Amino acid sequence: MAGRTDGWALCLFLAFVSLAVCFAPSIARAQQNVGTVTQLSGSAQIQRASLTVSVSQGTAVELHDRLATSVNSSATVTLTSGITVTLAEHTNLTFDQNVTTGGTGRNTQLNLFEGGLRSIVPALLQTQTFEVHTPNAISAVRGTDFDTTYIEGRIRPGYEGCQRYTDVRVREGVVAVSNLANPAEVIEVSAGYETTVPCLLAPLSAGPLGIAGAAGPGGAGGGRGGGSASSAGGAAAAAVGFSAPPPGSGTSAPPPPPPPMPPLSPVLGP
Amino acid sequence: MASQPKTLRTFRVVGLLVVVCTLGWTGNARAQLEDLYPGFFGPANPQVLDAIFFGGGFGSQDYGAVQEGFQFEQTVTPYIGVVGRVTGYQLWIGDHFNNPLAPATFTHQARLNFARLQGGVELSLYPGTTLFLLGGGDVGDSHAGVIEGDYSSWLFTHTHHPLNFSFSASHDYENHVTSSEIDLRMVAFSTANYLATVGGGGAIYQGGQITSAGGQGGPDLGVYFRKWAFGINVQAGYGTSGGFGQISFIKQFDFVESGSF
Repeated sequence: MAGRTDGWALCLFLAFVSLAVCFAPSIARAQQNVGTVTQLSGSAQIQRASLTVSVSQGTAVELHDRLATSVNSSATVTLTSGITVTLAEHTNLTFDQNVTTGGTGRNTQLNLFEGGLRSIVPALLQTQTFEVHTPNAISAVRGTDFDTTYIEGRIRPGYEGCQRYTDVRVREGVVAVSNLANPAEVIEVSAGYETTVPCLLAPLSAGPLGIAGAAGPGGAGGGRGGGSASSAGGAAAAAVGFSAPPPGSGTSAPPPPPPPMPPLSPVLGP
Repeated sequence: MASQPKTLRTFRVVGLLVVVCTLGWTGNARAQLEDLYPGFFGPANPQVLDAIFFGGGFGSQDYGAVQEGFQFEQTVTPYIGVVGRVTGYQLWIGDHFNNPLAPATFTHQARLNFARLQGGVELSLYPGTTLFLLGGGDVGDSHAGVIEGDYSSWLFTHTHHPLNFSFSASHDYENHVTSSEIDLRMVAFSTANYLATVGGGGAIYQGGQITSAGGQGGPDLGVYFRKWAFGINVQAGYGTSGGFGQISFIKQFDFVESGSF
């Protein structure tokens, strides 16, 4: 009888060990540290499983964390791979993939659900990837500095019937942008240019920064010029530490030329 | 006698129908406008105040001018804003030229100084397109009333070389001269730090004592530094007043105001 009990106990023990062996990697992965909050202005929260953690400078960010910034706030996270991401106000982001090999980040994937994000990616190796996903677009890069903004629930003139836009603005390097619905149709956006991915459509051809109508980080809040949020967004972005707003007085375009000279009517005298 | 109340009743019915139709049409138009321009009737959110400083100089064989000024633009709705502009002008006139502010008098004055105060509305009905409608007057050596319209539109924005078409026209009620400027520029290249444009344009003026149209034109080059929100534009060419050169600059500040009206 005692031998039979011992056998059951051994079986139970082995089952626990098996379970532990099976789930240990996932538990370890769930707690994988992907980076640290290195700069914070205003307030931000991390949603970690069922917990809500208030963010401060130095807070560790773990895999699958959802980081959200409040109004008039921004947060910078330095990833273990050396990539820096800065969240504009009202931004909601998850860190979904951070595969590292020998301490070096290999594949990094972020999911942007709302708001604006600036990513500074140091030159990556051929085998490394960095992707920002939004509900309708993918931006994949290799060594660059770019902004991604996702706007939902607003109609822009010229896109009636569409209320979801991903704007990608590139400062350095090249970013490959595609629609999540059709990842094969890729537009390459080089430094100084921007593009928009409206709803399920392919990305629009790239146009110069500030002219093609894309919103910068912080621009999700609204703006002028027929729904183009660039001016307001740009200024808000500047306020939270992004680079200068795009040119333009409300329409994301350089301002009109100065007024003409007065009516100089050079009538020859007698 | 009985027909008078009947006529009155008919008038009332027709009047009511007109009011109902007008209200219905207005509501329908409003709904259509909302479809085309979402939030057209609502206040802009956030409200934005743009402050623009500008200046420049014009030199030709026969006269020269320097201008400097300030313009503010305040959003009201996402598509409509109010604008105020103050510009100072200094003119230097060549010996054989008439006074351009009072051409009929042929009184010569080597230098004229005046300021132009203008106010009006800014319409931004489509991204990249703006129309300013301004009215105002001069103080100083000129006392003219002035109306002005400035239009600017970016075309082919989703290409590497978008085009900007701009047109400005103003009428001076003192010398009765209407002058206009037209410009077509193309983005030559764009980087994260600056934007370079190349194009051409010119000015045409006529009216008052100028019986046949005069003007000038030539190529222009522009650079806009994104980091400083600062743009500079140079132009050279030939026209009624001989060879000319022109330089203008613009510096922009954006202020995002929290909340709305």
